[in-house]
Amino acid sequence: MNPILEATNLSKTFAGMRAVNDVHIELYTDRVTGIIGPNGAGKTTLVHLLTGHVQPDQGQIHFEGRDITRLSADQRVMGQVCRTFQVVDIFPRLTVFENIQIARITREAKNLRWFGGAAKEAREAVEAALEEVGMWGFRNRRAEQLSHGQQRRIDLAVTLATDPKLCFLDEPTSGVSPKERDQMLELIARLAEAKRTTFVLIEHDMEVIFNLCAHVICMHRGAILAEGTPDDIRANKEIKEIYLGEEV
Amino acid sequence: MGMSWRLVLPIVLILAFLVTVPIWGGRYPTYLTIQIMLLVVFALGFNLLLGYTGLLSFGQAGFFAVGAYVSALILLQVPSLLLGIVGGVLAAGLVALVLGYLSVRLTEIYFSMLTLSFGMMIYSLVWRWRAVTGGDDGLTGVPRAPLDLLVVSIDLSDVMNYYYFVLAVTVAAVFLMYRITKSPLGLTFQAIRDSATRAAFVGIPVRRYRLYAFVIAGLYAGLAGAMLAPLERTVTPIYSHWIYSAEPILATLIGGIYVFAGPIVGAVLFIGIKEIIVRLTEHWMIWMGGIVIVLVLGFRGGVVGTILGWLDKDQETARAEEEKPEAPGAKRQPEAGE
Repeated sequence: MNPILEATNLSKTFAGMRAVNDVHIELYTDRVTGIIGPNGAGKTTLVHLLTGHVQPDQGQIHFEGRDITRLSADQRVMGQVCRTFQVVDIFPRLTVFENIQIARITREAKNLRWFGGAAKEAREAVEAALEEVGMWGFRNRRAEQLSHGQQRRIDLAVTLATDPKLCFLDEPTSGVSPKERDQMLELIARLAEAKRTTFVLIEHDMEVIFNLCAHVICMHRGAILAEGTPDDIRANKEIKEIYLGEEV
Repeated sequence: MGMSWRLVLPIVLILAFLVTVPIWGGRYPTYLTIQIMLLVVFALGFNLLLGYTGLLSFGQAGFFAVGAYVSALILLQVPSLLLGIVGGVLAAGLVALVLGYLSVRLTEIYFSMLTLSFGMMIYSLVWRWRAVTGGDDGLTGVPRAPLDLLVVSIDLSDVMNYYYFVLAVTVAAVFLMYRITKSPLGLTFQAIRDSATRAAFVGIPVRRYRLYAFVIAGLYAGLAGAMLAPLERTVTPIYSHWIYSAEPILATLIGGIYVFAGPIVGAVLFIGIKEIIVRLTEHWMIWMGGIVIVLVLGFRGGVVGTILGWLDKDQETARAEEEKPEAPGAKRQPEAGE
């Protein structure tokens, strides 16, 4: 099976510090992949590079066999690679409904419609997305008025509304209550099961990784230290040393 | 278009009021109302940038002046009002396209400073290009040419007649802007305002859409300027100075940047307050500054924004009752009428 995304020799340096160092990574559609590593390991920078948020100094990225290395973030999203951020990033002054709607309008390339009302656009798809994340009841609220956990759900719904084939979730459960965390994990598991989207999780929470991911990549100092099944990772001595004291 | 009677009724009343101004008001109130309408058009364009797209431009007077000068130059050669206005608007749009292409590469204060620089470059050009612009003397004797509509030619030489032309254009401009802000394009601008990064990550080419907003704002500034030239019959470099860019900024801040009607109400208040103060003191700018500070601090979100906020609070409690969190994936109950 060909990987949905393959990156080779990927490197990025910030102010003399190599944040990502000659990384080779392959992502496959048949499994949820987790990326772990201590703070400063380069996980988020790697995702920045793969999603076009930051351009690499060197290396190539191929998505479904196509070179996307020099494509901008918006071009990659339209090519169906999307992501969420560590810190929730939604449209605070827009309503919950409009948050999803703008993603759908963009996906359907209707942004340039300048006279017809936006309210009627993509209604069914927005309704389905809000039901999916259990936020229909809040559709008329401005996003800034929601709790952090609710904003996380909207963040995910906005991302999914772009119809991604590949979706990176950067710490999707950080800062939420245990109940909201369980709901979020259940939701991701259900979406992964539907196999419309390939998910890649960046997480600190090992329980989340081992519950959801069939393949785990461990990064350290900008490079990939090890990868394999959750059992392989649990048994890896080097990883245990890095996480000194943490249960892996 | 789904407008409720609560919105339609005030609009009809305002239009009825505006249509009758020359009848009961006399020449000066008519002239003053034209000034307000020009600022409404100018400020609405400006607020598409600030309130809807999140870009603060200090250079809008440049586009206003391009509209005014090009309109004046055409009218001095060809006595056709329509040609003068259209020429002024298109010229301002073209200049906005070129300068916007360079400006939207930056954001926040860097964008603001760049627009300020470009605006002052236009001012400098207007000041020094005497052969075309008349330098510090400006262009004088601009005719209020007739409006030629195919077989009909309407005489607008009297300011009372010109008023109706400006009113018709302003109503059309306000309606058009309203439609833009409610359209998918308007929603796209608002998404960029809220988070440019997130906008890019739903697939919006942010820089391109910022340029669209910049050009539309330039067209609106140019339209206001183009209509000013035949009103004043004179165009001088002061219209391109950055101080003139402050007028739509202040009008918008007074009215409210996140509400469509903000710049409209703000323009009325700005010119109304200014008109009263200049009669009382020659140091009107000091008093105007004080009043603007009080209004901006006392009405966070502008006068319109604050009033709407008060009204919205009453609905908040009722809405909170309606909303119940749901488990993800739970099917919603159909609403009445669905």
